[in-house]
Amino acid sequence: MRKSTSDLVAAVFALALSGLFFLNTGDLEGTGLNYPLLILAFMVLCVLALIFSGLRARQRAEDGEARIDAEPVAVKRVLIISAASLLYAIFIPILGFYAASALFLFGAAMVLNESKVRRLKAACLLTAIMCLAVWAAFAKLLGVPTPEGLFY
Amino acid sequence: MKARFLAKMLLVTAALFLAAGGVSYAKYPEKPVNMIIAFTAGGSSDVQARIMQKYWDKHVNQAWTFIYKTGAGGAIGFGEIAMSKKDGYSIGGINIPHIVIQAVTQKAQFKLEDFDYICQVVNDPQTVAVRKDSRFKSVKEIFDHAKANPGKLKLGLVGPNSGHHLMFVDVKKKFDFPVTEVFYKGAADQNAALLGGEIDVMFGNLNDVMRSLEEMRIVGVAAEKRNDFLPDVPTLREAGFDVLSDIRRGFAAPKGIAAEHLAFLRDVFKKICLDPEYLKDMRVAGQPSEYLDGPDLLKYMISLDAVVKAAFPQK
Amino acid sequence: MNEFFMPALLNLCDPLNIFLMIAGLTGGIIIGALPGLTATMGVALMVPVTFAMDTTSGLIMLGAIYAGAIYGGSNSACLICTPGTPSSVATTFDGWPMCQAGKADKALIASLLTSAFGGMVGVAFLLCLAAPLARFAVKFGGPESFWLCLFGLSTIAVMSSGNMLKGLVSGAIGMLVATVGLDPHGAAPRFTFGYYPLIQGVEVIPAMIGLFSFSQVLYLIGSYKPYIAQYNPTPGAFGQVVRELAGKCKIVLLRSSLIGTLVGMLPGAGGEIAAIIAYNESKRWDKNPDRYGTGIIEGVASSECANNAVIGGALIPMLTLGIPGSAVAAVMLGALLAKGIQPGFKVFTATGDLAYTFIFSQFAVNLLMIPIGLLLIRLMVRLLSIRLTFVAIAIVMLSVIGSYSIRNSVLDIWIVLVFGLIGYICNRIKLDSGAMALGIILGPMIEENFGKCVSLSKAVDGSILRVFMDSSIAMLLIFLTLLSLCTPFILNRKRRHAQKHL
Repeated sequence: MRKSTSDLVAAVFALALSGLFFLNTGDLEGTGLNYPLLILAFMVLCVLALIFSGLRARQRAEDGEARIDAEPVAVKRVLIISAASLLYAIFIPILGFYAASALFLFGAAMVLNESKVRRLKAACLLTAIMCLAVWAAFAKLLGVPTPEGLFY
Repeated sequence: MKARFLAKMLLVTAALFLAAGGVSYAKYPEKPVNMIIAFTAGGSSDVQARIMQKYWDKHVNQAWTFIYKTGAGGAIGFGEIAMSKKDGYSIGGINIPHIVIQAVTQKAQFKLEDFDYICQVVNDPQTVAVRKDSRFKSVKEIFDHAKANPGKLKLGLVGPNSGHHLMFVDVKKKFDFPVTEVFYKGAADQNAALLGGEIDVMFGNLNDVMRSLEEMRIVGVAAEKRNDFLPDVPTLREAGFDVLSDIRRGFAAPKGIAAEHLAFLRDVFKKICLDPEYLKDMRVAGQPSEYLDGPDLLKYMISLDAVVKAAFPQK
Repeated sequence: MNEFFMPALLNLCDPLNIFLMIAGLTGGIIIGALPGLTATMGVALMVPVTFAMDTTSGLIMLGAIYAGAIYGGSNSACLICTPGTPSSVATTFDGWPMCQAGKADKALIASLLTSAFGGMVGVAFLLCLAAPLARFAVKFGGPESFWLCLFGLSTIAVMSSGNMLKGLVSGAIGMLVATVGLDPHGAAPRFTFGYYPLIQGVEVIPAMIGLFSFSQVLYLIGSYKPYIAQYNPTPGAFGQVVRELAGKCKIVLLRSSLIGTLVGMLPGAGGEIAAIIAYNESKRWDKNPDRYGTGIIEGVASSECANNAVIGGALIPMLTLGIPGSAVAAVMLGALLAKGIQPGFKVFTATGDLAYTFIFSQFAVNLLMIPIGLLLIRLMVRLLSIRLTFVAIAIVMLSVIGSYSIRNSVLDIWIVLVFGLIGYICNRIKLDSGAMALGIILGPMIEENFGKCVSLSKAVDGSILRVFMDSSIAMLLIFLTLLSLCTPFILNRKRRHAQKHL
C-alpha cells in the first residue's frame, strides 16, 4: 500500500464514522450535544487536511512514493482467527463460558497449528491446560462468575 | 417389553426429579445466591452488602456470589435484578431514589413494579456541608448570602438526576435559592471540589462527607431528627427550612419469585438488621442503618415516585 | 511523629505481614501480567478477605497486590506487546521492540528495577510531603483538570511526529467513541444506536484489550513466525541493566517518578496517563528523540517508573483527605472505611501506627519486588519458547474472560472484538492506535471537566474563558500544552541539526 493510499483510506474511514455519529445525535441537547459536535467538527477538519495532503502527495510522485507495508501477512489465518473469535463470542452466552472456550481452543488449535506433528495431542493439551487454569484462577481462587449458558 | 421398560424408567426419573424438587423447596437455598451489586466493588453499596454477608452466613449455610453490574448510575444493575431468573437465587441491592428517578427519566429497562422488595437497610440523609474555614456557620447564612448575590454562590451536587439533584429541585421550589449548580461524577470528586475551593457549599450524603469530616463543617442534616453520627448538627427543619432528603439502600428480588422464598429472605434480612453486632459494624463503617420491611419500603417508593414525576420531565 | 517509626518497623517484621507481602506481590504480579485482569480488579477481589484480618495486615496485603499488579503489567507488555494493565500501554512502545530484538531479559529486568525505583519515590513523597501535596492536589478543579487532559492529548503530537494529522484523527476517533453511553450532563442515552446495553458506554479496559491485545493476536497469527521472538539471554544482564539505569537514565528516572507521583495525586488521573506523559516527556527532552520506539531502555524505564510512582501519589489524598487518587486507591479507601478508619491528617497521629506501618510496608514491598520479580521473569520468558499459535489462541480466551469480568457484561466481549479489528485495520492504514487509546481514556475526563467549566461560568457572568484561565495552574498548563503542540517542529529542527553534524 502506498502512503498516500493509506492516508485516503484512513480519511474515508474517519469520515464514515463521524457521519454515523452525526446522524445519531437525535434529541440530545446542551453540553451533551455540543461536546460531540465539537469533536466531529475537529475531526472533519483533520480529515479534509488529510485528504488534501494525500491527493497532493499522489500528484507529486506518481510512482516514486515510498511503500509502507513491510511484512507479508497470512491473510487466510487472520480471517480464520477473526471468524473463530466471533463465533466464540456468539456461543459464550448460549453454551456457557467453559464449553464455548473448550470448543474455541480446540478448534482454533487444530486449524491454525501449522506443524503436522502430534496436532491432536497439542490441541487437547492446550484446551485442558487453559480451561483448568482459568477455572482454578477465576472460579476457585477469585470467586469471579463466568458467563453461564446451557453447559457450565 | 422394551417400551414398557423405557416408560418405567421415565416414570422413575420423573418421580426422582419431583422428589428432588420438593426437597430443594423445603431447604431453600440449596446453592449460593447471586447478589447483584449495581456499583463498583469497594464502593459504599458493596461495603454495606459485605457487612450483611457476614451475618447472612450465620443464619444460612449458602453464601452469596457477588456479581458487579455497574454502569449508567446503577441502572444497568437494577435492570439486571429485574430481568434475572425468578428462582430465588438472584437478588440485588437497590438504591433509592436512583431507581425511582431512572424509571421516570431514563427509558430504563425496569419499573417499580418489576421488583419484590425485601427490605431497606440504610437511610443516609443528605447534609449541607461547607469547608471548615468557610464564613458560613449556619444554613440560614448560606441561604441569605445566595439571595443577596444571585448566581454567585457555587453549589456542588452529584448527578444529574440523582438524590442530590432531587433535593436541589425541592429546595428551589420551596425557597428563593439562586445559585450556580455544578454536577460531579461522584462523591469523591465533589468532596475534592469543596476542599479545593471550587464550590462554596455542597449537598452530600452523610456517609460520603464523613470521609473528609476533618476538613468540612456540616451545617445541616436534611432528616426528621438529628443523626447519631453528628448529634450537634441541627436538622434543616430546626433551622427553619422544611426539607427532607436522603439516599436509601435496600434489597430486592425480581417480581414473581416464590412466596416462600420471599418470606424466607425477608425473615433472614430482618434478623440481620436487628442484630446488635451488625448494627455495631455498620456504625463503625459509617453507614447510618434504618430498617424498613418490604411492604413499607414499597409504600415509601410509591410516594417518592409522585415527587420525582413532579420534579423531573418524563421521557 | 517519630514515636511511630520503631513500632511500625517492628510490626513489619511480623511473620504474617511478611508472608502477606510476598503472597500479595506474587499474586499481584500474576494478575497484572494476565491481559484483562487489572490492578483494580485484583485489589477489589481481595477486599472481602481483609475483613477477616486486622486492619494493618489487610492494608499491607492490598498495597502489595497493587504494587505487584502495576509492575506485572509490564511483563506481558514486553513479551507479547499486550499491556497487562492499562498503565503499561506506554511500556509496549519500547519493551516490545526490545523483545523482538532478542533482548527480552533486559527489557524485563529494566522494567522490574525501574518499577521498584518509581514505587519507592512515590512512597517517599507520601512519607515526607503528604500534607502539602494533598493541599495542592485539591487545587486541581474543573479548569485545571481540563487543561491537564488537553496537555495529555497534545502528547499525540509527539507520539506520532511522523504523521501528526493521522495522530489527531485517531485521537478524535477515540474521543468520539468514548461519548457512547449515558450523557453525563443530561443523563440521557447517547449514541446507543437503538441497542440498550450500549448505555453502559465503552469501558476503557475492554477497549484497550481490544486495541492492543486482540489486534496483536491478529498480527501475530498473520505473521509467518513460528515463535514470538528469538530469545538470547545475555549473561550478566542484571549487572548491565543496573549500570545503564544508574548511568544514562538517571534524569529520565527522576523526571518520570516525579510525573508519576504528581499525576497519581490528582483525583481521576491514574497510571495510564502518567506513564504516557512520562514517556513523551522523556522523548521530548532526549538529544535524539527518534531513538524512542526502536527498543531502548529509557523508554521502558520512563513508563514503568511513572506508573509505579503513581501508587504513592494516589495514596496521598486518599489517606489525608479521603479522596482517592486512582481507581485502586478508591477500592482501598472502601476497605479502610469498612474498618472504621477515618481518613484525614489525623491518620498520621491518631492511627499513626497503622499509617506508618503501611507506608513502611510499601518500601518493603518495592524491595521484595526485585527478588520475586526476578524469579517470575525466569518463568515468564519461557513463554517465548511456546509456539506462537498457541500463545495467540490463549490470549484470545484470557482477553474475553478478563474483559467480561470487569463488569460482568457480554457487551465488553464484543467491545474487545470490535476494537481488536479496528486496531488491526488501523495498524494497516497507519492510524495510531496509541493515540486512539489516549482519546478513549481522556475523552470522558475532558467532557466531564468541560461540563463543569460551563456550569461554573454561570457564576462569572457566563464567560467560559474566564473560568478556563482562572488560576495560575491553569495558565501554566495552557502554556505547556501550546509548547507541546510546537514540539514536532522543534523535533524537526533537532533532526536537521543532528544530520548536519553527522
